[in-house]
Amino acid sequence: MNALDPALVQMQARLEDHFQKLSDQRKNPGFPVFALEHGLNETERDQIRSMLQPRPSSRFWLLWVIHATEVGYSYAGDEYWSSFETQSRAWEYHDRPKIKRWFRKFANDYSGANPSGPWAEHFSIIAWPITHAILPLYLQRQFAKLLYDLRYQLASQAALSARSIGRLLADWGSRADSSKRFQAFLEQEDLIGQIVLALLGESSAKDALIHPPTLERIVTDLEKARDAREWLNDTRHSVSDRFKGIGHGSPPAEGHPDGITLQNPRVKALGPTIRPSLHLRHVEDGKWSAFLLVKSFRQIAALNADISSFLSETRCRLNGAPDFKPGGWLLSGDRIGALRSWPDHTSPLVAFYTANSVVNHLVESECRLHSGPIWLFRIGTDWIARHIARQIVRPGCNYIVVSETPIPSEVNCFVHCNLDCENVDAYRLEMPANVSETLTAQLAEMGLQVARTIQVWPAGLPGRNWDGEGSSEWLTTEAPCFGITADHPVESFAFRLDDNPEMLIPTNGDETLFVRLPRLKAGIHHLTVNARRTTGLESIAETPSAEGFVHLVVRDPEPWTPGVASHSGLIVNTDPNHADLDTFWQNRLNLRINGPESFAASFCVTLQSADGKEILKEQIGNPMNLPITPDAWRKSFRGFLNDESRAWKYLEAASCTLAISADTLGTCTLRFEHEPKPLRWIARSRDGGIAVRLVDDSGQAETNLKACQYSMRRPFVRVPVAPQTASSDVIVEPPGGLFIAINGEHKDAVLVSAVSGLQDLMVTPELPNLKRNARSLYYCCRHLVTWRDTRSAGFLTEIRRERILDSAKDAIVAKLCGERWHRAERQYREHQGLNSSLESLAGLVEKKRRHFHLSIPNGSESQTSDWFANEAARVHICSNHLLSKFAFRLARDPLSVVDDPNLQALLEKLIDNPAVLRAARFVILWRAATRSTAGQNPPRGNSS
Amino acid sequence: MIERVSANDVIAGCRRTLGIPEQGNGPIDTVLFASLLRRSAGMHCPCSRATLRASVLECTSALAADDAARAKCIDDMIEWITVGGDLLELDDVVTEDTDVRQTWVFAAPPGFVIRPDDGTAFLFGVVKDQDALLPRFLSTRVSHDRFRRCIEPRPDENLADALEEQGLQQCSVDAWLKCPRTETWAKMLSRVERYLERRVSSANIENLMILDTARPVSYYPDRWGSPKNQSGIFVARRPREFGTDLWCIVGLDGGKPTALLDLPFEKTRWRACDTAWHIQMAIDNRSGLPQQYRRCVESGSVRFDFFSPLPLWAQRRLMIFGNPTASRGSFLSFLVPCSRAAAEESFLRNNLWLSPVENPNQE
Repeated sequence: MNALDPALVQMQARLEDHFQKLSDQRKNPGFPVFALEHGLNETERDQIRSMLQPRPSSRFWLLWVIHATEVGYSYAGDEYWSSFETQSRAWEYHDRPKIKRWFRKFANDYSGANPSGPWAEHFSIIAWPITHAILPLYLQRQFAKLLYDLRYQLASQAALSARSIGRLLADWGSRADSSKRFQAFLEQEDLIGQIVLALLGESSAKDALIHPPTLERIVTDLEKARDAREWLNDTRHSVSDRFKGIGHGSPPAEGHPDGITLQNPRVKALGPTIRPSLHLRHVEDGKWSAFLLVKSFRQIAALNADISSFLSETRCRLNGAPDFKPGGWLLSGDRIGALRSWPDHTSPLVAFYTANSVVNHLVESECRLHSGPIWLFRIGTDWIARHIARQIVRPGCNYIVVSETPIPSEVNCFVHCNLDCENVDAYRLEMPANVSETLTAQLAEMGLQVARTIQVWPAGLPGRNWDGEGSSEWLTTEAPCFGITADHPVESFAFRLDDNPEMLIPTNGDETLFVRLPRLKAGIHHLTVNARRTTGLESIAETPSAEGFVHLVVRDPEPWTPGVASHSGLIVNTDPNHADLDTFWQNRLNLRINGPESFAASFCVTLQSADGKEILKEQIGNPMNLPITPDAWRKSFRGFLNDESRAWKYLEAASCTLAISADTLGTCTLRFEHEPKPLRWIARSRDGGIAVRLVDDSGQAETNLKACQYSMRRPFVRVPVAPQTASSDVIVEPPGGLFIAINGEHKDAVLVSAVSGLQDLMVTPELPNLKRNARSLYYCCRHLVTWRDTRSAGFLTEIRRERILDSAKDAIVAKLCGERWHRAERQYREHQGLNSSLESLAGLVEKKRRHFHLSIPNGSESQTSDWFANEAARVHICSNHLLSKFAFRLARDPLSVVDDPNLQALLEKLIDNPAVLRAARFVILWRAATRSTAGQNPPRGNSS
Repeated sequence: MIERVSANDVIAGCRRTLGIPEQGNGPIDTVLFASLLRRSAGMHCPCSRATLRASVLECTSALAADDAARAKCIDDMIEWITVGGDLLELDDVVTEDTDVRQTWVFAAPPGFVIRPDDGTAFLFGVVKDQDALLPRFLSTRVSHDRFRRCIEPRPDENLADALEEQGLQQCSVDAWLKCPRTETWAKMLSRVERYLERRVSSANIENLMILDTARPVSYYPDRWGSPKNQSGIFVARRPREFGTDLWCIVGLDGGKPTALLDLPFEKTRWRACDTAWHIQMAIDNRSGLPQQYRRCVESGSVRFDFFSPLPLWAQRRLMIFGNPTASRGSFLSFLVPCSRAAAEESFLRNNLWLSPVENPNQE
């Protein structure tokens, strides 16, 4: 018994004492204690592991906590328990809840950290040891890289709270191309913020937020990861001034090495900047097109997970564009969309297919075009006409004026021009160098003002989004410079930045004046420039002195994520936006790639195991010429997937990257991962066959766990699997089967195909003798949905799945339509659609022959089912429109009705009136026959 | 707070922000122009060349004394950073709108190519908001020479791995050296004439300018002129209301256009000007006055001087095996290591059909 082991007793006592002292020290800063802060060296850690081999006892609970934490520190992201149990021979499955209990005790006794966030809720036991491992080894490199990417954001943090830093990292981590596990790790915002403070702060040993030997251990390990040391150094360098003194709780020091950072409490905070800009491009021969530049919605997505999910999944449309953009379109960088009609200014410039109150509110307020009747665009020397919201025109400049109504011909300087956009007229406006009073008055009547003549422009660094009229965007790392001239004698210029005191800078007349602003904090700033005329001019001038405004939107630099689609000439769109690995490998991803036709894209797929090892790296087919449609992609990938060895390797994979390369256009890398599920089946190749194993990290009681399997041969026969059996490797018998596990609210299923030889390639499923009652059919449909939607593993799985589904669907239709109909339909299919067979089917719809008008509309399925319901009513087969439409859908695909809330009731009605289903089947077969034999005589349609 | 600064202060501030070495109170040099253009590309691309030009022209306004020289330098640097791979100029490209095909300049994603002889990494590419692509331990090793950014490898260092680790994509030398297939000038002209036969047109083309084969090949700018009474096929440019002049091939009969073929050819990745310059080399060969290069040994390297523009793919080749250098009485010049000179000379003769001209001052 380990209770007698004096070494264990001594170690337990020593550690209790250590953590008690640590807990007392932490009370003041309110920083939690982590079990990794045990302060033991490597030898002592090994010693504990070797001593803890007997049955776990609560007498040594703290040693078990430390041991579990050490396993968490070296956790590779796949299976915690298998690693833990390998190192703890006496440990048994039902001991798992003890770990949670002991960590809770640790949290209570020593103010220990409490795991939080969605990941911690789902993985309710292993979240404890992994959280107490502070920064597990396998996440350290990603963590250092993220800190490096966000160094400027960290440096410009207004409040140095752990929470705000944690929030920042969680936001960016979810946007960057990081693994789902890393994103889950970042969800623990408080903890992450505290780690960052400890890693980058300069706190003294007394105020250390993490026990110094533990911090040293983490930093040493972290610096072993390639490049992490340099990343960390650069990050420390960038934020060093900012973080000085934080250990003593003093406010952050202001300032940058070569400039003063302005801090003004009255600066307007920068909300998500999503205001789109409108511009006109000259296309050819005097013709212009309208485009909308839409800023990335990433900042909005970062507000919360619901919004992120909404933006990932919801299609959107630009106001004036003909098409819907796929879900996630707004999340992959700034976008450009062509407009075919002029945007309706009463609606936002971006609209979503479904509603989300927060996003709707933002687009309602931020994404609007000002009301007409005219919109002004200044033609640049690059032949792009940019929208000038302030409606100011300058002498000698060229404009396009877009108007809701024709501009009278008597207004000078306006010449009609061709804008490829409905609902508006466009005019070229060439402003003369000397603007007459008449023209000034005419322009004023239209709402256009002739500008005063102070010229201000970004000097040195080009201004982002500089519209030529005072609006520009800058980074927090830049000190904006402006050049200023006036075309009349000026004695001095007065500058005012936001609400700061006015500053007067004298000038000697016609020289160009350059001014430099300090680096500005993120937000919206206003610079006012007032030209003070010379005394002589002032005495004769009637107008007030000229004043101009510069509007500066200041933000942090956006980190660069290699391989993310951008405006590099290789435009990659995926639908769904964030597909998981199963969706990708089951070839359900819609991948569209645009780019120049002279380029070809090559595809390289890499499968990786949970610990990051490369399992497979192969090119997919030959390079494909751009552009690539989703169908062309799927066809190419289908050929790649149809390979047994790749199917085996996929079983081992935890993640996958698809690198799309097009020579100098660059590479776009897409990442796919398995969704991290607390309860999950893992399929692996074993001894030339395939085995499945159930991993249960749900933290639920073992007694609640239910597992079963359905063989592909007998897809409706449930065979229970004991939890103990499920958690060890279960060899899958050919041809394979469907494995399902449920524990509380957690559920997982996997369809596994096993092949033992060529004779087993095809499956002939034995279907149950379905009863012709609604309950039996209902169950059958629901069960088939599980077969249809479950992720798959192994070779030939998809072909076999299709075969099982087709057989079962046939059986459902046969049961509802009757055996006689089923025989006739099978005969029709075997005769490859002979018209005579179809005619004999027509005679079987109902005893009394009906006369359908088989002029089936060429519209959508919904329109066709409406037509069918009307016809069924007209020929007195069925007067219930709802039932007729249900029959039509079921006849087309029995699984399409599964989600109907009235499924069982409608099945009952269909059993009472099978003729309507037979009629629907006939219509579908007839339609298929006429489509495939276009030009030939269709079967007579007046007999049913 | 707000401070008045001199033009030189503005320039020095730009250098600091862009991470390029300071030059005291010097004027704007080519390194700064190239960096400003890259930064502008990160903001505007995809866009036209004119957008980049206008953006940098405006922000350097009043910072240099000679406006014409500044504009010329910006134009040259746009061309050089295109040759150097920072920008991709693509014709008829479809981006977001499948109905709109335009010639646009794209910001190339960050990458590098390793020079085969000494392992130097030649960096290219642009990233929005990131003037220095690399962390400090690598960015401090970047040497800037006009438009080029290079890192020399250290002993026992795998520089390619280190750069890939930072997310830069390695471009193989083969991909970098991609060029049209080798063929004779006669075969090329025969193909062009076949295309041209299908584009017969008698319409008058206003303000057409042609590269006159009869004028000496030794001074490229002088070869441009309006058609007079020439006959045959010519490389030409025709203006349009907005945008740069279009490159084309025209058939002339007594100075009157008989056929017109706009460049570039369909589904080619080469720019219109590259195709035009290549065709002109073939035309000059047929007329018996092939374009020339001058070869001389200089500072342990072989200097190649060219008197007309070279297609981008030829310049890239000379750039990776050698270095561009200041021209002396030539249009373009490169220094190539002696060990590579023979191979490059062979390429110039076989792929561009150039003839050597002896350097009277040499040896």
